[in-house]
Amino acid sequence: MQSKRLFSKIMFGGVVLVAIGIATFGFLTFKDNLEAMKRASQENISWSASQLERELTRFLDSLGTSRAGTASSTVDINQRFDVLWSRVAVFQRGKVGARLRAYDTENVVSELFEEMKRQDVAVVSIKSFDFTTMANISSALFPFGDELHELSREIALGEESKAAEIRAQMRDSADFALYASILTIIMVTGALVYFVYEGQQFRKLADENKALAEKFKTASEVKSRFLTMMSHELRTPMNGVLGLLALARANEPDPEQKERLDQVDRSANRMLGMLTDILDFAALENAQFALTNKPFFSNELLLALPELLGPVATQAEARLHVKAEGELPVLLCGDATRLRRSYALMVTYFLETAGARDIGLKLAYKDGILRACIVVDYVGGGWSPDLIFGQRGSNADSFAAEALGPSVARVLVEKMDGKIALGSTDDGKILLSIDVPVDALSPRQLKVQLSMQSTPMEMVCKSSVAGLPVEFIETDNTEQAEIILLETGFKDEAVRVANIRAQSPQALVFAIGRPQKPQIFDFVAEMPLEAVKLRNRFAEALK
Amino acid sequence: MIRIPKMILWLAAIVALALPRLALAQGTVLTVINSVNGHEMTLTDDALLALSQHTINTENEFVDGMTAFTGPLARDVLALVGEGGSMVVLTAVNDYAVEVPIEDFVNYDVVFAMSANGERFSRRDKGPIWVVYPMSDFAELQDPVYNARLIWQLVKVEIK
Repeated sequence: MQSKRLFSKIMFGGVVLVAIGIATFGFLTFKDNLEAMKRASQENISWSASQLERELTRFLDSLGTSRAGTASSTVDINQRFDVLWSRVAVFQRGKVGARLRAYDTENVVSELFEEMKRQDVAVVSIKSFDFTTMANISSALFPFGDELHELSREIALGEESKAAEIRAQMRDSADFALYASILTIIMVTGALVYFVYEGQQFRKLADENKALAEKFKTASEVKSRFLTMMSHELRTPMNGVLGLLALARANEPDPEQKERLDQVDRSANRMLGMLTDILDFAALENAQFALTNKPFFSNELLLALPELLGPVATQAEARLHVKAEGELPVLLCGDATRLRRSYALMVTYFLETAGARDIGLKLAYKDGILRACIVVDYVGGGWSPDLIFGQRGSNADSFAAEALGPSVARVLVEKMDGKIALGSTDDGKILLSIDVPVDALSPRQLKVQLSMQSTPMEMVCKSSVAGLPVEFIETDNTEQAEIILLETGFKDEAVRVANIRAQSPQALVFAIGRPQKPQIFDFVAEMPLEAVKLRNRFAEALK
Repeated sequence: MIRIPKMILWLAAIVALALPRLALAQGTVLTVINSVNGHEMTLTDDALLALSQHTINTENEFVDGMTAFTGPLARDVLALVGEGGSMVVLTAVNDYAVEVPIEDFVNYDVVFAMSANGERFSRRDKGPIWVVYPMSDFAELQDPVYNARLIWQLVKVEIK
């Protein structure tokens, strides 16, 4: 393919060069033709030469006639002499003069002119019947007759030869123009045929590439599916292992056994984490991967992270601080699950791989960007921060096995149009910032009505959504409620829901508990109360 | 019988011999004929110079470089004998003649030049009159057809 492209380039260059060559040669030929045409349109100098010869003859005739005593007068002689003089003058000026002189290599005309100058006084003062003077003048100029005749002949022949040369040149030019045109047509046609053929080849190649890409895509999807399946299948026995480990630890093992069991437990948990990462990675490569864009409470994110990462930090004997820097918007809109997952993957990596002793995660919001700054105080050793993006000497797309978590995080962040930057703080700690564009929504009070069977249940519900912009309204204001929380587990549940919907058609009806007919509710939060799930649903209702 | 002194006869003979030359020196005659209406006119140098003088700057193959030719416009001279005709026969002192379409003098400022660069033509050059076309101003005039119409030593103009 490479050689074909090279050939195409050479061919194209060749066609262009030959075309330029033909054009240049054509231009020069045209210029020559123009010059030839100019020459062809010049004055016919043969006529000027013959006129000089003729006027000399006429002057000599006028002298002869006078000598014969017939007609010519001295005026006539002078007039003929003047005319002859003017014919000689033609040789002395202008382009015609120059061309005539070029033929007069013997200087016949110059010598004639000199002789005329010598005879001028005699001609001007000539008197009738002064036959002696007339004879002298005649004998002085007569010899030039033959020389002028010879010059006229040379000029006529020379001009004819030049005219023939010009005609030949123009004929050659016309022939060349014809051949050049034919050659150009052949070349352009050839080039067009070739380029059409090449275009077809490229199209064929593109089709093949497309088929190959489809094939690779299918193979990649098969691989992803295999990874998903494998990691899922491995997680099940691994959970079994962990369960058995928990049972073994519950049997009060001796200190040595406990230490070994702890080691096994840590390894198993780590393997489980890696399997989760593989599952995530495979999911990211899946074409059906899609981000969600739902409202969520920033507070939820702050609360969820310590809950999620606390056990990992404890196991790694490290401190973890999660807090907001400045004031965060109450309600954000984005993929809260993927954000949380990205932060968790990075923090887990620092805890498990980098030997972090202290990790601070600060969330800040500015100009539509949610920034998570992860500040890590680490032990050091064989690990260095740039390993987050893979092995030394490898590029960012080539991840080390131990950097699987960060690689998943990085792809997640990229998919959310965010970016990750690695730096350090003034006191030498690692500073990893994760910037993701997230919309801030204007918060408002969500009007919620509780329909519980007991006060403790009401308290449980209220505390589960504490901190959220929620206004609880009385039961006599049912028509204003946006959400009605209804405790389940009583008779005629369906009738009750139907009555509520009739009274408040705009309100969402959420079930608290396990309803008989979940499908008649807009949302179900089972007991013990799924607080996170409920809060997330509240956030969605605020959109 | 009246006796004429011998001296006077000699003087008369001298004057008679000199007259033609004087005529040439004082003003060459240009004969203008309109064969269509029969009008004919003979013009002296003075008569030609009395007409409106026009100067054209042009080159041609018989002069060196750009030259200022001055003289009456050909159409002004032709107008002296009235309108009519389609061709003009221009005849030189040596009887060389050329036929020119009358449109030439309408379409172009053709001059019956009597001087070049301020210097009067002599008969030994192109004088007394040289028919000059404004060749530098019109590319189509740069052709042998018009070169042949640059007739010099013009003595007769005849409209046909």
